[in-house]
Amino acid sequence: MGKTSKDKRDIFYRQAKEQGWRARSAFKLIQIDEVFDILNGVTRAVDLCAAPGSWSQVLSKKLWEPSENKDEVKIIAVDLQPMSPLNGVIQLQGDITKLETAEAIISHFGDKKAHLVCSDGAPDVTGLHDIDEYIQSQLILAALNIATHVLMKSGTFVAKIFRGKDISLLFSQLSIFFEKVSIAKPTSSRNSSIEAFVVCQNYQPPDNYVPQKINPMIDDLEVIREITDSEVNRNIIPFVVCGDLRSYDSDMSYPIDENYEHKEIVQKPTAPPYKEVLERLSQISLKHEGFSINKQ
Amino acid sequence: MSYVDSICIKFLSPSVIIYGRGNSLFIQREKLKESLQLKTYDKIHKISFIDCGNNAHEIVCSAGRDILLTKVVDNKFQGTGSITRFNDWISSIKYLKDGIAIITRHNIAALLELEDNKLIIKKKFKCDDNSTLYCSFIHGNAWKDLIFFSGTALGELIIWKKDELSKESTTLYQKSTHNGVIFSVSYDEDYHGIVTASDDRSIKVYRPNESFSELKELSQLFGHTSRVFVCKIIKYNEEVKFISAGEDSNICFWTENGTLQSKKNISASGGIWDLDYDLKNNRIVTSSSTGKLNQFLLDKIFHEVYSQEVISTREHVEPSKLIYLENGTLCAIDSRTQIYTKMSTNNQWIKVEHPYISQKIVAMDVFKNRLFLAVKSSILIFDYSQIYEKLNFTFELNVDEKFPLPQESNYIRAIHVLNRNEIFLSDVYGSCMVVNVESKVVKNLFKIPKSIEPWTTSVEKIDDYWIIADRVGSLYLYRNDENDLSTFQMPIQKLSKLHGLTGVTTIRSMDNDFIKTTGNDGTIKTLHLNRKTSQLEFCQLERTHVHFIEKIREYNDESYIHGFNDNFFVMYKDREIIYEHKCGGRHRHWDVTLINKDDCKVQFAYIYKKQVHCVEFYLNNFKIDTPINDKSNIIWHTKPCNVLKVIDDSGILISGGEDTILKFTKIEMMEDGNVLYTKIADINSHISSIKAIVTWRENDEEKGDDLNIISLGSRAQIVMTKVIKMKYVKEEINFMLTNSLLCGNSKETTFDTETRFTCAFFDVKRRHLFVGCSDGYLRVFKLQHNEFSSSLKPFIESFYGKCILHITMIKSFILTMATDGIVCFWYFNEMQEEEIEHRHNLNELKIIHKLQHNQNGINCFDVFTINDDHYKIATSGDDTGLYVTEFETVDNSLIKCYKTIYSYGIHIAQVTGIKFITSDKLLTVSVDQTLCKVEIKSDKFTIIDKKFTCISDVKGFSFFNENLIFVHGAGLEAIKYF
Repeated sequence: MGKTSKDKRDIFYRQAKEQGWRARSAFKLIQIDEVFDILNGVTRAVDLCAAPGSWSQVLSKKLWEPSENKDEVKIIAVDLQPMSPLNGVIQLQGDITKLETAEAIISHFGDKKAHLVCSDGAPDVTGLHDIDEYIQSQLILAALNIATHVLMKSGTFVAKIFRGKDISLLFSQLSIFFEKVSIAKPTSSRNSSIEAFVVCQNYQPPDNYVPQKINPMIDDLEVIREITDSEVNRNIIPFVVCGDLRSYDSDMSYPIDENYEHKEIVQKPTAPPYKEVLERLSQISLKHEGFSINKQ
Repeated sequence: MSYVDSICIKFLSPSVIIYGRGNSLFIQREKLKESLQLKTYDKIHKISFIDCGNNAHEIVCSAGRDILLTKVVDNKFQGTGSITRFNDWISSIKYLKDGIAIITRHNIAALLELEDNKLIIKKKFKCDDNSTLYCSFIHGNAWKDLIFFSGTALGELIIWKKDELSKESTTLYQKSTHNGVIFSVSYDEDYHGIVTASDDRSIKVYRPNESFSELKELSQLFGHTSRVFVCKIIKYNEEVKFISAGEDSNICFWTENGTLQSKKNISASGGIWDLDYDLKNNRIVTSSSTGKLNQFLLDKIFHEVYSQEVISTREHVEPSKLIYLENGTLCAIDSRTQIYTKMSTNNQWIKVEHPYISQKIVAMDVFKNRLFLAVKSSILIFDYSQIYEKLNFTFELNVDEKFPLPQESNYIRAIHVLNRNEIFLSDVYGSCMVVNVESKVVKNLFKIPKSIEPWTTSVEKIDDYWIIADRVGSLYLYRNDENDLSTFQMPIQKLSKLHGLTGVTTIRSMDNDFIKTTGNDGTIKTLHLNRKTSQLEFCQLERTHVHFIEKIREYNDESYIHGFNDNFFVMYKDREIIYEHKCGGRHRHWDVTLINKDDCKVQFAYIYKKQVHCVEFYLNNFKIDTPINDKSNIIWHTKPCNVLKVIDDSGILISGGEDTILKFTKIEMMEDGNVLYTKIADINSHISSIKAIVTWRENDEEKGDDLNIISLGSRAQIVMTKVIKMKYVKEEINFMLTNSLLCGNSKETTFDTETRFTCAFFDVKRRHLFVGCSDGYLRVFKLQHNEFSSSLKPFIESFYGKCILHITMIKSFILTMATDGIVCFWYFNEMQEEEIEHRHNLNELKIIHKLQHNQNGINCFDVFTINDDHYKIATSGDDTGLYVTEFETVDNSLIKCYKTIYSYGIHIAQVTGIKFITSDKLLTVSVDQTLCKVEIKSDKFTIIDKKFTCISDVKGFSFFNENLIFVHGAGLEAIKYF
């Protein structure tokens, strides 16, 4: 396949390169905002699992760039991996499952809390859907956990979800903290993908709720499930398509004209886990052979 | 019966294995297989057991949040078992002397005990680090002694235990060890070593100190090309070995010092999830993503006797050719045309006495224990004497006069032995003859058409037909005429570059006039000799994992492919690399012989760096004995199955998906209610994923009633296949844009090679194939036939602007459904081709009605016929909404739609299958792994029955005679109709 192959198959991948977005997922946040207006009036936002930074880029462009008082706009991007700097975005290298990360975010906001917490993070998938969906839901719970510490009342929480057999439990858990929970499917997300986004609006934690680390084995979520995982409850999560259905279709392939110029991606992937192997493949074929590094 | 991930496997005893497949627990003893009726909600991930004596075992399994308890007595399940559900996902489980220990995915250890047939948490404590775990391991047999090993997404290894004083946990060790997720951790007490396997493609071996507070990394092992899912330490004949396996379907056997001793590939089985070792029989079993189990007999795998020898000590003399006789004697010829032999039973090279050979030996072949050498225009024949145990020169046949071309520059270039006395010869000018070496009578004369290298690479005879392959890659068909020896026969058919430019390496005749050919393009092709037309017809293609296929041979009735991958000699069977040996590559003389039939021990000899090298090994495949109560012999798709169709009347299941294989499977209902799956064929014609299948029968005396299949998919490819007599499969058309371009008619198509054909409908009467395309077009192809072949011609197209996901036809209306959730009714008026002035005349294919159903992509639909004019259409998709509309076909160009009713909340994830049972009852299936029977009453949808499927990433369902529902996606499950 030629280097323009993906450009033809994936219009949003092509558009992201042409418009200077670090990843095609930038369009997902833009389309969610078009419907839910989640960025309106936001001056303090947190982007969790931010690398390579396309959502932070959207926040920077929509919140920081047009702002007349740029000092007032605070966008904090959190990830384990370092990422290239972005205008108006404060980067925190940290683990969203750790309480210290929440504290570090709060320290940047001072006594104020965030209007928006968002997360486009996904786990390292194993190929076993049940585990992958479980770990994704744990990642969202970790993001929610951070949100309970840093999000102001009436704030918004947006996160990527994998809709599988256990998704109603996650909806139930989110419904405890937010008045309105919706499933958003941007048109830039493929129809064939189980990916969608929860848009949780109007943060209203239960009375006397003290932000803490939710732990499924320690906290009795069975009780929460019994309260919230009813047939009635799971029916009320509305599904909302985001993005103009008349515009680009992420499942469509779009031809390129002869004057088309292939562009490299804006942000190349950070060091993959198999980087060391790749470096050594010039010396040995792992297809047939193996090698060891003796550390003794 | 399901084909789904088998995530865990254990030896219950040396002859009994217990394993999870999907959400079912199985036990296999000798040749019987049994499953526990009780099923968990999630797939079974871990198994542990305790020996209770008297051949009884208590078994405990973890499956997501569920823990399954059962008992096995005399290798049979006893009782129904019980399931207890916990709040968090169980990462590891172990049966202890004093209860059951678990580690949860949040790094919490708990001791469980059974009370009133339910497991309850007696004690629990959490590790200081509550990261989400990807793997864990419990060491110890009693709760108070346990040490826990946990692996995280960030490559951290945490070793922890309970502090006896504080009753809280103590972290003994915590450090980042891998550059990615740790998928497996294991500790071996005898070796006092830890192994971890990771996303970073490596395995690490550590030696802890006594208190586990420090770890010394001993080695890091790289042998996998993809993620490593499992690694264990075993003891084999008092030697420590590390065994690793993973996503790349490789199982690697490492020595203690980090040398990769052996690597086996079972790519047909998919990724390997788990393995276990039986010390008594030195046997490893693995479980994989297709549900297939494999076994590896270490005594056989590690047996490799290697030698390298100089056959002549004379200066500047080196071995140039070698070949085995049937009795295992290796014959080698040196650069001075001296012949040597070596028996398999001793290592002595014996010089063979023979007349002086002044010219180079160009070609050689063997029939049983008779050796034929081609020298210039002579054939030297040698026979092995059993009495004297040596090879003797028998006689020489000169064919000088029989070849009509210039003698000076001409010589025999290839020899193919047909039987003890008949040989096929070809010279450098393309003249070929069949000659009897005893009677010296020439039986046939053939001429290979002019080319740069017009000599033969392989020859096969079927009755009076000869199939001959030449060195430049052409395959020729000749019709025999024994009586006419006055002229050289010319071919009646030529197939150019059948296996590329480097020639067809083997031609093998099969039953019923089928022929298999191989070549250096890594494929096996099946052809059929049509005696009526005297033509060879292409039937199917199989892509192998061997880049250069050189020979196919049978050992103990099993057929093995011999060839080369890079610098390695490879023996391959059923999509598995049985053996590979680094020999320097394919440009060398080599041969293989069976030296022990009972054990299937073989010897591979080759010339490398002027020496003869021999390696002896076992040819054992990795199959586990087939249970007598389940003779199913298929291997399911290794990647998600996108589309599946059941042909009710003949019980054929046709499936295709991301692994690009179009699979034909015979299905039969057994008396015990199980399904027997028998492989008919796997077609490799698609170069990218298969998205849609349409089938039809001609029901025509002339065209027959064979089943026709059109499969479509990515890379703008359409393949038409025919199933002949429900037994053989023949490819009729392989339409690809690249082919069109090669033929110079690219202007006939408007689409790009990256276009995906997503759905199709075939109008049998008008021979139109309607295709929904990812570039937003609805295209119509015309299927045309002539005496010899069929073809597909792009006919007319119309731009819709969204990716069309489904298509069907009601009367003369085409219905399409796309990513915008709209059902479009198209009017299609076929004009005679000459009437159409412009190919893309939209007037002939136009939308006459639009019906908005779902909010976005329609992933499934069904149409119910109420009467001649009235229908109901049901759709669903990504938005989970179930929509039903009644419509009427008023005349040939008018559709009238009545009220649309809909419901949300039946499913919680994308709905991928919907079917009318009656006009007001539907069956649906979704990615939420639920099948729902839904009743529509007073415009309201009510779930009246539900069933769970263990198939994740569900892509749809199909029905077989209203007995079974086949759910497909990441696997296949047969569910009884309900």
